[in-house]
Amino acid sequence: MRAAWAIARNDLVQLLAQPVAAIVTIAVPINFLILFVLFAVGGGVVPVTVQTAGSSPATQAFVQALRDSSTFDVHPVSTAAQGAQAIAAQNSVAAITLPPDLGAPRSTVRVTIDNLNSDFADDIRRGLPLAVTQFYRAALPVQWREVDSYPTTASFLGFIAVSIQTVALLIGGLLQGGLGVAREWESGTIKELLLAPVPGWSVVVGKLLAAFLGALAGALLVLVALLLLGVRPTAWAEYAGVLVLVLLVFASIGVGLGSALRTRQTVFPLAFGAGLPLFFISGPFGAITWGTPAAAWVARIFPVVYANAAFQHAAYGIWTLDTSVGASWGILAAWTFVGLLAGVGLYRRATAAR
Amino acid sequence: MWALIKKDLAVWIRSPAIMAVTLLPPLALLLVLALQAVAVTSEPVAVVNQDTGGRAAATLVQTAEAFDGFRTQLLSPQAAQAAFADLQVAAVLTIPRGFSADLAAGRRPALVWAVRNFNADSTNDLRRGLPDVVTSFLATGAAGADPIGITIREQDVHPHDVGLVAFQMVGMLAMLMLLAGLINAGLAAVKEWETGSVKELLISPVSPLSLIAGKVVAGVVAADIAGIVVTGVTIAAGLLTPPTLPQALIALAAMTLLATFGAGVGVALAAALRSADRMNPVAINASFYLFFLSGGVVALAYLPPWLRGIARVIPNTYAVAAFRQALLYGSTAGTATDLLWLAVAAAAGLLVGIPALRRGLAH
Repeated sequence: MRAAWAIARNDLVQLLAQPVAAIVTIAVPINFLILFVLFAVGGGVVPVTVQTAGSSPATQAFVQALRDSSTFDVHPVSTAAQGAQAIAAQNSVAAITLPPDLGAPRSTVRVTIDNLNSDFADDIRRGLPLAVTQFYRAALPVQWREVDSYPTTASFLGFIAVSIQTVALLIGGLLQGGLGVAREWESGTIKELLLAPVPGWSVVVGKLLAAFLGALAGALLVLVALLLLGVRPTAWAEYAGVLVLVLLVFASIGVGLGSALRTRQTVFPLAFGAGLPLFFISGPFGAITWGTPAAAWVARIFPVVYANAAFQHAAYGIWTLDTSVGASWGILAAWTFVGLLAGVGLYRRATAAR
Repeated sequence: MWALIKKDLAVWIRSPAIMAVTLLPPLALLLVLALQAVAVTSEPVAVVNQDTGGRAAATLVQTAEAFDGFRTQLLSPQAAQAAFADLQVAAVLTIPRGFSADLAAGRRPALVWAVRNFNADSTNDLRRGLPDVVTSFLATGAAGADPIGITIREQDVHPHDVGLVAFQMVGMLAMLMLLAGLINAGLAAVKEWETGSVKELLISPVSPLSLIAGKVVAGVVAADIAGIVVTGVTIAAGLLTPPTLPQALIALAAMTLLATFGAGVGVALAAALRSADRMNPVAINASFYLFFLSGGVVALAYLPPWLRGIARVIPNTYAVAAFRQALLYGSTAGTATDLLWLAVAAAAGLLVGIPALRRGLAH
């Protein structure tokens, strides 16, 4: 075990000696966190200008309905020209003009939409009927009662940001495990490791330990970023448990990849090329069952979808998967076993070939 | 200089690793965007009609099925409950027994809207969707006289809506051009140090300026090739409509100017870093952050004012604006200003890069 620890320490020292590579490995999940922040901004409230003719009770009620619609960030303007100017200056994406006779039969609300794309434009097109029905709610012949599944609704940013923890483990584990082993082949030091008077298993354990600790540093950095964003896990033990299991899975697979590929230049693109698409079909934005069936079928094979669901559960107490909590933990544990077997097996096969 | 350009381009074409480093990050992001677009477009909803004989209820079901914001399926109460519990549907709309009779009698029946409120985005989509369905239902007259007196008259700035993926694709194209300029010119320069051929170049009778210009031009040409290929693939995939010649030229000019800015910064980085291992991650991260700071996949209007201020001094912003006009909206409005700002950025990039690489070669 002393040999394993010495190998791990050496790998960590090498990682620190190349700060750029270390920072990049750690920065990748942070980059995706920033991308997710932009998704959340795009999926959030729509900046619009509202031009009113007077301040009648009906006008005030309609503007309030716009504000309450969870759709619009309302900026009042006094002329139509100001509304058009705000669109041209890219400060708003729609200009709403309320008529003086608002609420009277056949009164017309005019809206100019900067229809940059169908998704953004549809938010406005659907937000306006919501405001209109809210305005007429008391007079509508049909009412509706919303029954939510959970007492609180997580913010979009909070929800998608939690999945970044999985990216940190996936990319961090694969890269740290893969690059650590591939480096030995590239520099020729694998011969020295094989000839050293230490048991073979201690090299694998050392590599795994170094990959685990290196990727853990990145994962903890992501956790700090999530805490700064306001994410507060409600079940810390569950959070820590899934973090350790998933990190073991991907660090082990990384060691296996590094042994099989033997060059850092191939480990790097493969970790990204295989890891990221897998992550994005594995439910970071919602339940996989609400998306494409084929993508959901593929996602169920790999541990990433169970990791995402477990992190959401630990953070918000919601379960986003149609596989039960217990079965999902069982699958994660099985993947840990398979990952370790694959890592050790591929390393032994690669070294036996020499 | 021509010989240097030819040599660097030949190296680029024969280096799958450089191509992978250039193309992989934007392509991975494009895949992300496409998958995310699927997630945000429509949600599966179950409708339970307990008023099976009612005409108004049947009209409401038809209205819900016709609404393009939902993927609606009519289910029995038990099947809907199972689908909701099993996360096969995001919401269940229940039309109660006696709905049509209550409507006719003016008793204002209440629909039940069970919502799986995982997060604010998907939940608000569902919350926005039901009033839209109700408004359309009332407009059919099935519930008697429609009490909604307000009509909405919409006027669009652009002649047609474009898809979310196509919209985000042009942001990615800007990222690709910047990254390709950075990587291709930067790695071409770094390679001279790594292989030791910098000595041969220095003792050759070529002026340092020709040497640097060769690196920059080769980097820009390689970036343009990558940009044209990606745009062509996107058009072939049906995401973009083929541009007219003037629109294609505007897009190409914007690509070239942004890649020139990238190449200028790339050779400056190469002089400072002198190693591909350091150059690649720095270039990838720099292009990522400039992409984010220019708004990336969203419109500037959605950003907070401070970020909008930063975005206005980043060349990607102007390239994206030119790409959107030329490739998405079939217009050339404002593109002269965008190209002017991009030309200024390209000149600034060269002003930084050329002296930096000259100093690097001199040492």
